Amino acid sequence: MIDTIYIEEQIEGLSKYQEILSRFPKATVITCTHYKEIFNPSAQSFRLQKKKPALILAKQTGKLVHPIPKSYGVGGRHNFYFSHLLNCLYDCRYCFLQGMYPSAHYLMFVNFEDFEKEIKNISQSKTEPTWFFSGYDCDSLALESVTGFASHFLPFFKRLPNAWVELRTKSVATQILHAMDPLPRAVVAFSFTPQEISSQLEHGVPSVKSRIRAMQKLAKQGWKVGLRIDPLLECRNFEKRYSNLFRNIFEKVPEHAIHSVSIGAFRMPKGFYKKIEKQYPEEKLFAGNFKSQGGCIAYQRQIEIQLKQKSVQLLSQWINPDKVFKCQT
Amino acid sequence: MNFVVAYLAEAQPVIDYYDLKKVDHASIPLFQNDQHSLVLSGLGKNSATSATENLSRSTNNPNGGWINLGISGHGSLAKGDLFIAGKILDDNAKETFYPPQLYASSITVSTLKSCSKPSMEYQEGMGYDMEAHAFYKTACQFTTRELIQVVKVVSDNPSFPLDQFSPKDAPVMINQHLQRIDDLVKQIEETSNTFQIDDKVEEMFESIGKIHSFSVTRSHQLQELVRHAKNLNLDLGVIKEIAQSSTNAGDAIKNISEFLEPYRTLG
Ligand code: SF4
Repeated sequence: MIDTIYIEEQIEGLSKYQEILSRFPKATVITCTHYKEIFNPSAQSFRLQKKKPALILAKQTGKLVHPIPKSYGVGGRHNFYFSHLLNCLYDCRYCFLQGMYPSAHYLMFVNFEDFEKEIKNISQSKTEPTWFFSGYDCDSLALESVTGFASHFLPFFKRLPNAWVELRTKSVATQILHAMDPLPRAVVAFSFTPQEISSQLEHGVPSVKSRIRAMQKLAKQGWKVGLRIDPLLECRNFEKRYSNLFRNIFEKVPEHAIHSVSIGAFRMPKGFYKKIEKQYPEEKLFAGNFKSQGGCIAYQRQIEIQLKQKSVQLLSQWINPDKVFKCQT
Repeated sequence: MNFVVAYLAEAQPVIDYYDLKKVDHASIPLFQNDQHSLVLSGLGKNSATSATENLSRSTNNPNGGWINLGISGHGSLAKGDLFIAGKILDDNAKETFYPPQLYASSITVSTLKSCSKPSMEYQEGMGYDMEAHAFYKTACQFTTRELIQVVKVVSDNPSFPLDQFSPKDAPVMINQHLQRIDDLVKQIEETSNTFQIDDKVEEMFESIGKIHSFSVTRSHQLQELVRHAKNLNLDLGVIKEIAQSSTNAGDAIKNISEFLEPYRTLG
């Protein structure tokens, strides 16, 4: 799956690096001084690299934990994100990562201990519960077999008394979670669009059915699960498709196991959108009913309101509205 | 494919394999057929830079694939081995290139250092040439890095140093790897084809553009609308008819936009 691994010279001594390398005995290993030499240059094609991304192992420096946009939260007052990985195993055509990064290579930061220190400091500096989102620049679980992220960080979060962690995923690679006791302050949040949309736009993503199954299994085990209906996409038979999706989920996953549902209509910074559209000029999604507003490409206001209202209404048949959070455009 | 090769002795097997013809009227040593172009650069970085620039002006497809092919020294590979550069250093420049390795190939990946003078240095795992870095840096101006690769055959190594190498051996050495080189060429070309502009959209855009006088802004809008119509699987002939029945460019943009509106929902 990974044929080429780039490594920063400075991390060659780290045990995490050796551990990852040992999983790919046949990979070509190429050293670099800094990951930016590979990840940042211009004249790279995200679309082409997506066919066969390399893995870059590097050390992240500077600030490692960042405040999260207000609209991203699920009820907490203090919200942060951290990224051990940039980019994703999957290839969703609406994904903003395609517009944000010049390269599709998986860029993994192996200095987990530095992330831990910063998370610990932030969490200790707050008296109220503090949220840490791990799936902002990647899928939290899809590359678990490579990164060992969850198996490393969940025990760490368990020891932090007021820290909540969200794993956000479209993966069914949940084995690591089944192998441990559920954490009281962790939410495993699954993102969904109806299967008809997923088949068109979420390339490589497990089926909706298998994700619901994974969610159900985790809920049964006692994990808190989350539902992320983001992006909400205008489509034919919108009501029927989203209604089916919600029914399929809530018939399998009991309401009490669901920590939160968040809903956000498709939106993207204009610069990212233009970049992605240029890479996929034939993509139907980009012929959608979008408008440029305030530096963002989003649905025309009226459409966005309708989509959100309808989905909130559909959800209200299944879940307490207090658990539903609307992401603002 | 655009080939940049230092000497005729290295290029001859490629010229023969693809049946390239010398372009007599060209001001550069250029060989071409419908699909491929090859330029002889001569030795060294400056020559590689100007040959790559010149070829970009003479080729049909500067945004397509680029390969720098030739012989090179190597610190550990055997004489006659083929390798592809995964990292390209330069003895005088700071910038290092990492050609993305996307292609299914059994070709060994190696680091390559471009030197200002012929090198008798043989560091473990390192190849040595005199053109690749300058070639790569220049070709990056014309296309995306994934489509630019450097492929070399080992001519000398610690057991057979450079002073024992005869340029006469170059054609045979390259010849034995042509099949694998061609496999790579095909993959790069296939990849590059995914970037080709949709002719149908372009033709229709140009044809509608002649019906009314479109300003630059409206022309962009029209191009986008035609592309959207195609992506939405609509008949482009209908779009043209709408333009024809419109009174002017502004009216055409408005009418086509309104026509597309109900189709813009995902299936
Ligand atoms: S799963 Fe999430 S991070 Fe991965 S490609 Fe899809 S939207 Fe992007």
